Amino acid sequence: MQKREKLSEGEELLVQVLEECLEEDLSFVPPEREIARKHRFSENFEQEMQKLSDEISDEVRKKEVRKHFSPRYGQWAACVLLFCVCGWLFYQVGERFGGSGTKESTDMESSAAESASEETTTDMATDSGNVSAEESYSMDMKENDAEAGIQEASGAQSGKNYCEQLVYPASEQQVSEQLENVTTLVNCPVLDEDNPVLMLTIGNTGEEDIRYLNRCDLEVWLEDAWYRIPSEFETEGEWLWLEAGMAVDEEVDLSRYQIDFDASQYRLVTHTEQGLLGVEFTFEEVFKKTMEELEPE
Amino acid sequence: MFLFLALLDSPEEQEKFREIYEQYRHFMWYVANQKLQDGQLAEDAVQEAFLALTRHLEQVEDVHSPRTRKFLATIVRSKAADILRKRKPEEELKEELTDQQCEKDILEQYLSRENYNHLISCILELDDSYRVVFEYKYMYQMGDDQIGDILGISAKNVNVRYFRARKKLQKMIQKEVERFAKA
Repeated sequence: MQKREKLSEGEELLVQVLEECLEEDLSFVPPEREIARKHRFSENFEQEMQKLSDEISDEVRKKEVRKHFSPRYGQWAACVLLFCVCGWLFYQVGERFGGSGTKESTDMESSAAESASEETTTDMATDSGNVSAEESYSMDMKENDAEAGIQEASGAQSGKNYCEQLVYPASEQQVSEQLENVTTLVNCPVLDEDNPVLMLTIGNTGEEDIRYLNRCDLEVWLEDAWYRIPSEFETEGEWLWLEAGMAVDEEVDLSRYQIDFDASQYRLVTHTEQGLLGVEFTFEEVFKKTMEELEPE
Repeated sequence: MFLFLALLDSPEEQEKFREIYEQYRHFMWYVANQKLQDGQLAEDAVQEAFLALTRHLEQVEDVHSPRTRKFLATIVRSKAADILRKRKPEEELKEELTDQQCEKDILEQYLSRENYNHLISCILELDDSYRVVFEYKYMYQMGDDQIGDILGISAKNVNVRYFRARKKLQKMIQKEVERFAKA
């Protein structure tokens, strides 16, 4: 109830009179049960109220989803901090293992070549006009695959042996957990080895429907970068629509992958038409070890 | 309809709304039926009242309090009064014409302890469409915008109705006092 405004003496008296009159009127109303015995609401009334109730539930659920996925300042700060730490680590690794001036100049040259090739790709995309997000995405993926192929051909230095299979660096190393209108979560960031099934939730926090690929990539962190782990039952996946304000759960069975439970960190990368989204997780034993290391003796 | 629902923010409010519906729907129907003398129209009034309630659930602090019961009675009576006014628009016009002949607002002078019993009898006789405006404004301390939102009229029209209600009440008390003096 609102706070009472200052009323004049006459108005205070009017409030008193109004209260008394209403009490008198309502004193003649029989108890709820008695009225319920004598009167049954019509089917139409019940239906309309049920409809209203359903709409309220739906609206509240949508709001809860939005609230759940809405970015908070703390999360943004944590993301920025994480990026800074990762950046610093990469810098340190580069400093330690990076080459001499000749190597740097080679890197510069190759990066210039890469940017030139990017420009060409952008020009091509612009020229082609109305290319759909899906098409442009698959073009990007093909380019990435081609790059990976070149990397494979150029030697095994970029690939690593992992669980008796060769894994290659992920096409995107920096993948955020949240894009402007879409975000992902896993039901359990610390997973039990005996039950390696994850539930990946993709949430659309925006006002418009989005498309996502119902297949995600599993990647593992090995020393210096994220590496994509191939699946035994790999499919191309299907592009599906996700309504505005809705979330969808995708089950990810890790037993379909050859994985090492002692690896420090894994992530699931989801493909949306807005870009890639990654969500990290680890296994219980590794988590315990990390916690023990962090705890002061 | 979605505009109203947008104001129910949380599962707690949703639960509160459900509780109110379960506890008071028959009571509200009874109150509406007393005014309308028509079970079907009373159901319409209850439905309208619940729709209006979704936008003003903040007025309900404790679902089980007597104040909540009164607030719901006011809402459903105002909806019943709306239905009655829509059925008899000619009466409204007649009332407006008589209102124009009324004198200046001196209601404050009559709001005194000496006139307490006159006030009671006049408020009980006052048309519900006016009485609910007093109740919203004084008992629940609602602003013209909020009242207008429940009644489905503009804030300006709420003010107009409020001043008409004052004049009507003033006229009724004047008559009552004069009758009492003659006796």
